[in-house]
Amino acid sequence: MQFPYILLPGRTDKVKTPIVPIGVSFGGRKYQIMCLLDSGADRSYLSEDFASVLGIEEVENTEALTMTGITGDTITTYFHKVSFTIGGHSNEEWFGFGKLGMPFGILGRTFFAHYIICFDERRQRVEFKESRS
Amino acid sequence: MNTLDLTKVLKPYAQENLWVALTSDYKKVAGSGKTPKEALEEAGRKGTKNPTLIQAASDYSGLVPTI
Repeated sequence: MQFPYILLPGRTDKVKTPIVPIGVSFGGRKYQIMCLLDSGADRSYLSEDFASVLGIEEVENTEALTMTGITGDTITTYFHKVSFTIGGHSNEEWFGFGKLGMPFGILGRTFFAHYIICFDERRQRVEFKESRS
Repeated sequence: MNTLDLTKVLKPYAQENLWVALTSDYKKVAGSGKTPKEALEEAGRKGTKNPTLIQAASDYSGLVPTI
Protein backbone atom coordinates (compact mmCIF):
# COMPACT_ATOMS: atom_id res chain seq x y z
CA MET A 1 0.00 0.00 0.00
CA GLN A 2 1.16 3.49 -0.82
CA PHE A 3 0.37 6.90 0.57
CA PRO A 4 1.30 10.24 -0.97
CA TYR A 5 3.13 12.79 1.13
CA ILE A 6 0.74 15.47 2.32
CA LEU A 7 1.27 19.16 1.67
CA LEU A 8 0.83 21.27 4.79
CA PRO A 9 1.19 25.03 5.37
CA GLY A 10 4.72 26.25 6.00
CA ARG A 11 6.48 29.49 6.86
CA THR A 12 7.76 30.14 3.36
CA ASP A 13 6.45 27.24 1.31
CA LYS A 14 4.31 24.16 1.55
CA VAL A 15 5.72 21.36 3.68
CA LYS A 16 5.68 17.86 2.21
CA THR A 17 5.18 15.50 5.11
CA PRO A 18 4.95 11.71 5.43
CA ILE A 19 1.79 11.61 7.45
CA VAL A 20 -0.77 8.86 6.96
CA PRO A 21 -4.37 8.32 8.06
CA ILE A 22 -4.82 5.42 10.46
CA GLY A 23 -7.95 4.09 12.10
CA VAL A 24 -7.56 3.65 15.85
CA SER A 25 -10.07 1.63 17.84
CA PHE A 26 -10.57 0.84 21.50
CA GLY A 27 -13.58 -0.68 23.22
CA GLY A 28 -15.71 -0.61 20.10
CA ARG A 29 -14.98 3.00 19.19
CA LYS A 30 -13.03 3.68 16.01
CA TYR A 31 -11.76 6.97 14.66
CA GLN A 32 -9.27 8.09 12.04
CA ILE A 33 -6.36 10.38 12.79
CA MET A 34 -3.39 11.61 10.79
CA CYS A 35 -0.05 10.34 12.11
CA LEU A 36 3.54 11.25 11.31
CA LEU A 37 5.86 8.40 10.38
CA ASP A 38 8.80 9.17 12.67
CA SER A 39 11.77 6.82 12.45
CA GLY A 40 13.45 8.80 15.22
CA ALA A 41 10.79 7.87 17.76
CA ASP A 42 11.17 4.60 19.66
CA ARG A 43 7.45 4.25 20.25
CA SER A 44 4.09 5.54 19.02
CA TYR A 45 2.11 8.36 20.60
CA LEU A 46 -1.26 10.07 20.47
CA SER A 47 -2.58 13.21 22.09
CA GLU A 48 -4.22 12.65 25.47
CA ASP A 49 -7.26 14.49 24.07
CA PHE A 50 -7.68 11.56 21.71
CA ALA A 51 -7.82 9.12 24.64
CA SER A 52 -11.15 10.54 25.78
CA VAL A 53 -12.46 10.26 22.23
CA LEU A 54 -11.62 6.57 22.29
CA GLY A 55 -13.27 6.15 25.68
CA ILE A 56 -10.04 5.50 27.61
CA GLU A 57 -11.26 7.07 30.83
CA GLU A 58 -8.44 6.33 33.27
CA VAL A 59 -5.56 7.28 31.02
CA GLU A 60 -3.04 7.46 33.88
CA ASN A 61 -3.98 4.06 35.30
CA THR A 62 -1.29 2.21 33.37
CA GLU A 63 2.45 2.15 32.64
CA ALA A 64 3.89 5.66 32.65
CA LEU A 65 7.04 6.65 30.82
CA THR A 66 8.73 10.01 31.01
CA MET A 67 10.36 10.72 27.69
CA THR A 68 13.11 13.20 26.90
CA GLY A 69 13.22 14.46 23.35
CA ILE A 70 15.89 16.08 21.25
CA THR A 71 14.79 19.49 22.48
CA GLY A 72 15.42 18.40 26.07
CA ASP A 73 11.76 18.69 26.98
CA THR A 74 10.18 15.88 28.96
CA ILE A 75 6.69 14.47 28.56
CA THR A 76 4.98 11.85 30.66
CA THR A 77 2.98 9.43 28.57
CA TYR A 78 0.69 6.54 29.53
CA PHE A 79 0.63 3.46 27.35
CA HIS A 80 -2.50 1.67 26.22
CA LYS A 81 -2.81 -1.15 23.72
CA VAL A 82 -5.21 -0.23 20.94
CA SER A 83 -6.11 -1.67 17.56
CA PHE A 84 -5.24 0.19 14.41
CA THR A 85 -6.08 -0.11 10.73
CA ILE A 86 -4.06 1.26 7.85
CA GLY A 87 -4.90 0.66 4.22
CA GLY A 88 -7.21 -2.21 5.19
CA HIS A 89 -4.59 -3.96 7.33
CA SER A 90 -5.31 -4.28 11.05
CA ASN A 91 -3.01 -4.88 13.99
CA GLU A 92 -2.39 -3.80 17.57
CA GLU A 93 0.03 -1.25 18.95
CA TRP A 94 0.93 0.27 22.31
CA PHE A 95 0.36 4.01 22.10
CA GLY A 96 1.61 6.49 24.67
CA PHE A 97 -1.02 9.13 25.45
CA GLY A 98 0.20 12.49 26.72
CA LYS A 99 0.46 16.22 26.14
CA LEU A 100 2.39 15.87 22.90
CA GLY A 101 1.94 19.39 21.57
CA MET A 102 1.83 17.88 18.09
CA PRO A 103 -0.93 18.38 15.52
CA PHE A 104 -1.02 14.67 14.68
CA GLY A 105 -0.10 11.32 16.15
CA ILE A 106 3.39 9.85 15.97
CA LEU A 107 4.12 6.39 14.61
CA GLY A 108 7.50 5.25 15.90
CA ARG A 109 9.61 2.18 15.36
CA THR A 110 7.34 -0.18 17.34
CA PHE A 111 4.82 0.57 14.59
CA PHE A 112 7.49 0.23 11.90
CA ALA A 113 8.08 -3.36 13.09
CA HIS A 114 4.76 -4.38 11.52
CA TYR A 115 5.89 -3.39 8.03
CA ILE A 116 8.75 -2.75 5.66
CA ILE A 117 8.44 0.98 5.04
CA CYS A 118 10.03 2.80 2.12
CA PHE A 119 10.20 6.61 2.00
CA ASP A 120 10.35 7.57 -1.67
CA GLU A 121 11.37 11.23 -1.55
CA ARG A 122 11.67 11.57 -5.31
CA ARG A 123 8.07 10.47 -5.85
CA GLN A 124 6.85 12.05 -2.60
CA ARG A 125 5.22 8.91 -1.28
CA VAL A 126 5.63 6.22 1.33
CA GLU A 127 5.15 2.54 0.66
CA PHE A 128 4.23 -0.19 3.15
CA LYS A 129 4.85 -3.89 2.74
CA GLU A 130 3.97 -6.52 5.27
CA SER A 131 6.93 -7.67 7.33
CA ARG A 132 7.01 -11.42 7.78
CA SER A 133 9.52 -13.10 10.06
CA MET B 1 -0.15 9.12 -7.19
CA ASN B 2 -0.86 12.77 -6.58
CA THR B 3 0.36 14.56 -3.49
CA LEU B 4 -2.49 15.48 -1.20
CA ASP B 5 -2.65 19.23 -0.56
CA LEU B 6 -4.28 20.23 2.73
CA THR B 7 -2.97 23.79 2.84
CA LYS B 8 -6.16 25.52 1.71
CA VAL B 9 -8.57 23.38 3.65
CA LEU B 10 -6.66 23.86 6.93
CA LYS B 11 -5.99 27.60 6.55
CA PRO B 12 -9.24 28.97 8.08
CA TYR B 13 -8.62 26.94 11.24
CA ALA B 14 -4.89 27.52 11.58
CA GLN B 15 -4.85 30.74 13.55
CA GLU B 16 -6.68 29.15 16.48
CA ASN B 17 -4.92 25.80 16.06
CA LEU B 18 -8.27 24.05 15.98
CA TRP B 19 -8.69 20.33 15.60
CA VAL B 20 -10.54 19.55 12.39
CA ALA B 21 -12.38 16.48 11.17
CA LEU B 22 -11.82 16.07 7.44
CA THR B 23 -14.25 14.36 5.10
CA SER B 24 -13.16 11.01 3.67
CA ASP B 25 -11.87 12.67 0.47
CA TYR B 26 -9.92 15.22 2.60
CA LYS B 27 -11.41 18.10 0.58
CA LYS B 28 -13.64 19.62 3.25
CA VAL B 29 -13.76 20.17 6.99
CA ALA B 30 -16.80 18.46 8.44
CA GLY B 31 -16.21 19.67 11.98
CA SER B 32 -13.81 21.73 14.06
CA GLY B 33 -13.18 22.53 17.69
CA LYS B 34 -10.64 23.09 20.43
CA THR B 35 -10.50 19.35 21.09
CA PRO B 36 -10.72 16.27 18.84
CA LYS B 37 -14.00 15.44 20.56
CA GLU B 38 -15.60 18.76 19.58
CA ALA B 39 -14.50 18.33 15.96
CA LEU B 40 -15.87 14.79 15.77
CA GLU B 41 -19.15 15.78 17.40
CA GLU B 42 -19.76 18.51 14.81
CA ALA B 43 -18.86 16.11 11.99
CA GLY B 44 -21.27 13.57 13.47
CA ARG B 45 -24.08 16.11 13.60
CA LYS B 46 -23.54 16.74 9.89
CA GLY B 47 -23.73 13.02 9.18
CA THR B 48 -20.13 12.71 8.02
CA LYS B 49 -18.87 9.15 8.15
CA ASN B 50 -15.28 8.20 8.93
CA PRO B 51 -13.79 11.68 9.30
CA THR B 52 -10.04 12.02 9.82
CA LEU B 53 -8.60 14.21 12.56
CA ILE B 54 -5.67 16.61 12.34
CA GLN B 55 -4.87 19.81 14.22
CA ALA B 56 -4.63 22.89 12.02
CA ALA B 57 -1.48 25.02 12.22
CA SER B 58 -0.18 27.92 10.16
CA ASP B 59 3.34 26.54 9.98
CA TYR B 60 4.20 22.87 10.09
CA SER B 61 7.78 23.44 8.94
CA GLY B 62 9.12 24.20 12.39
CA LEU B 63 7.68 21.14 14.07
CA VAL B 64 10.17 18.86 15.72
CA PRO B 65 8.68 15.99 17.68
CA THR B 66 9.85 16.39 21.26
CA ILE B 67 9.84 12.65 21.81
